[in-house]
Amino acid sequence: MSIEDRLADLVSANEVERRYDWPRKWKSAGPVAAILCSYVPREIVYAAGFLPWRVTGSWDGSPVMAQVHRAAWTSPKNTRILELVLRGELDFADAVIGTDWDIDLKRLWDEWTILRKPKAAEIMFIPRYTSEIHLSKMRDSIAKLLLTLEQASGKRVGTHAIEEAVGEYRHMRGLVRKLYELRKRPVPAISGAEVLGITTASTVMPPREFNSRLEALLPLLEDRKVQNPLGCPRVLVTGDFLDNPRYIKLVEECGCVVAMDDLDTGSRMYWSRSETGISDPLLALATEYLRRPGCPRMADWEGQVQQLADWVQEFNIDGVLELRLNFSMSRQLRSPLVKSALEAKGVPFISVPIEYQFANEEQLRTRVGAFLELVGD
Amino acid sequence: METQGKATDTRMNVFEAEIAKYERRLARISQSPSDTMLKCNRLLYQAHLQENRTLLKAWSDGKTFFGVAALNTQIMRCFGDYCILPLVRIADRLGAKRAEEAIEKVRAMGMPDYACDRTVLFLPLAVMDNDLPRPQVLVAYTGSCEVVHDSHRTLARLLNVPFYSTDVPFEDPASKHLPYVVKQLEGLIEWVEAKVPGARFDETKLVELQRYSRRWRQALHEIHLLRQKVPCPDHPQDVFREPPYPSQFTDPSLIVQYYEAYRDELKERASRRWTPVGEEKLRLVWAITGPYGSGIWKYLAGRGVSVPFWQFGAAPRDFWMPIEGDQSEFGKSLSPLEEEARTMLYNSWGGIGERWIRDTVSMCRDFNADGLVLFEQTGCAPVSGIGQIVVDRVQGELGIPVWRTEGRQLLATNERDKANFMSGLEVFVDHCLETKKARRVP
Repeated sequence: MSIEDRLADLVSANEVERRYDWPRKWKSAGPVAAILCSYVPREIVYAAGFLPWRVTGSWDGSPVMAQVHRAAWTSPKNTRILELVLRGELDFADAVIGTDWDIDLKRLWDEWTILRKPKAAEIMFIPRYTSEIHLSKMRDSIAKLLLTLEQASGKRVGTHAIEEAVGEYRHMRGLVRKLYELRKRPVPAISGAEVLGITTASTVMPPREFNSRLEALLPLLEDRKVQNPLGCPRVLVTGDFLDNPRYIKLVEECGCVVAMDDLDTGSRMYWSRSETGISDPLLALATEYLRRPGCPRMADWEGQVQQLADWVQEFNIDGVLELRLNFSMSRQLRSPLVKSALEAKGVPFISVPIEYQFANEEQLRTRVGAFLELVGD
Repeated sequence: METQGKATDTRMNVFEAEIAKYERRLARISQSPSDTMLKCNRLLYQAHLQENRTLLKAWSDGKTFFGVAALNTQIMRCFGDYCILPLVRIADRLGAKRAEEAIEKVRAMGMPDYACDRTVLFLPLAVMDNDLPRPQVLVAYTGSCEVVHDSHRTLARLLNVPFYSTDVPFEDPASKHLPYVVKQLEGLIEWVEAKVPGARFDETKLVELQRYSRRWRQALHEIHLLRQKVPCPDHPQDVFREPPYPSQFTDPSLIVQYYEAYRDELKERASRRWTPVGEEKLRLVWAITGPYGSGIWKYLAGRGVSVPFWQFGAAPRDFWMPIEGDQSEFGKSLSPLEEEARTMLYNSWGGIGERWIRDTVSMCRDFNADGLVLFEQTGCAPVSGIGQIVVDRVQGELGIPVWRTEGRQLLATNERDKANFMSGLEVFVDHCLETKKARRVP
């Protein structure tokens, strides 16, 4: 296999044609847990013998069945996941794990569990703050998840299994961070769309297999250069639940180098640090998940803006482009704060609403074009 | 700031407009009292009038205001002589014209116009210096509607004022989460004392307010039972009135007196089996919200339709769940802060969907409903996505019709929308009458 073939193989692991292959293969060895949010600690799911498989909604067609249940102003991503649920396409999942990322996601979990009755289901309370009280509560949520999975599998999960799983994901984090290092170069070794393909692949593939493929690929990428010419503005894309690399590709086709992201499907999953000083593994995980770069649902908006500003510096970014999933309330409410804070630092910012499935291509090109002019100014 | 005789318009600030509204209302019911509406409503209007006059004066006197989401008002009243700005209630009472103007500003600010009316309409009013006083701190919580929480925290950033939030878990059983919420309420007290010069928490004040709250809930529980009677002694329009918390008023006794008088009046009506709808032909449970200021309640009463229960997020805790002083729910008597946490931990639509579905079905059963109206407000996230499941559950378990309709409380009330809604309601009432008849045929 050539480098390009290896890369394409990993990048496409969450494409429509392939994302179901991983649970299908895994089912012969163990159960599969459908995960609805990046705040679900995959380490715990994996330690319990489940394949943690992050759910992607339908990218095409009209969600006619889901629209019976969901209003036009609700999250289009959740509507498109519900469509798959109602079509029975996700019935293979042995467990469904959600969170209260927002009410809409909570309601998606309700719809799934009430209408399809999966074998096991858990919804996690995720605190919005990170003080000791909140970390301890997050630890309780993780312990409750663990108990649900143990009951579902009929097996007790020992500390050793948790440590092993934590180790596997720590390794994954290290590898993905190396991948992000390759984006810092004046001409990055890898495009933004390719990175999103890889990070979303990491949420559907068995972690060991993903790690071994990425580990083999990384040295081969050392001499690679993306095709965008020097001089194109370097852009950071920010958003939530963006799992379709086609959006990033469009931004790059418009003449941007997407050199960094602030996505729960990308950097935010991997920018946490391991909490080595905490002896309780569940509390360590709670700390790691709550103290990583936050989604807009988390309380610390100022910290989130600071994180963006830090990435702007670190990755030599010229402008920040927010691809805001339609009807994403907390992001839209946060947006003016981000805009004014970044602009005060001289960083252009624009917020563009998007659908979940790839749509409105020409309108998006126009908006990105306007953003490029802003960055040029 | 004289308001006597002024028509309600947008040139007035929010308090002045409210004062003018209640002055007009009180004058109207003095001149032509209604035979069907509660006589004690006068007490409610007087309470609103007095409260708005108090707030208007406090503003002109330069007093400190706290912007507070509903369930935090009781604690926030215990720090001294400060005023409470109940932003959601203010949004609720704007009226269609002012609401339409506010939503235009919401759009201009880049804020979501698809959020429900009560959650965002106060944002532009609060940032304009001439509509509302500027709060010194903002306080909110999750666990009932996170959009309300998020709009308060957004406002804090817009005004650059400190914000405190209590993170309230959504899972049952609530007892498990009591210490978590209490710890955060202790944090709130420390925070207020640190942020507001001169503020000192007075627990005896909290105990006193909880006594009012207990009497208020006791009255609501009795009203709840009286409304279950056939025929229902209450008018649909009075049922569709979200009970304000006593602590939302500077003088909490006014609200307690109103609901005690309300209870007594219903008791008297029930004793002679009198109902304001004439002959009771149908009983509908109404859920979520409805079009404010519309004539639908009079229409329903005119057709002999009672609406004995309005199901919304806070309704179970206010009307039928254990109240202050109860020891059965948590297996012990609760401290004053634990009592606050208890109330915060159960909101019908704030939990997982099953909680809302279960409560709604059980209220339809308890009230012997012949139909259920689910008025799904555009942007009401807590109930979105589970409406059809409620329909299936109610129809399956109780065999009564359900009408799912979408609309807004205050906005988009053009003539066509109103006509569409009224014709839908008419068809639904006819359908319920037919199915009720069919259910009676053996």
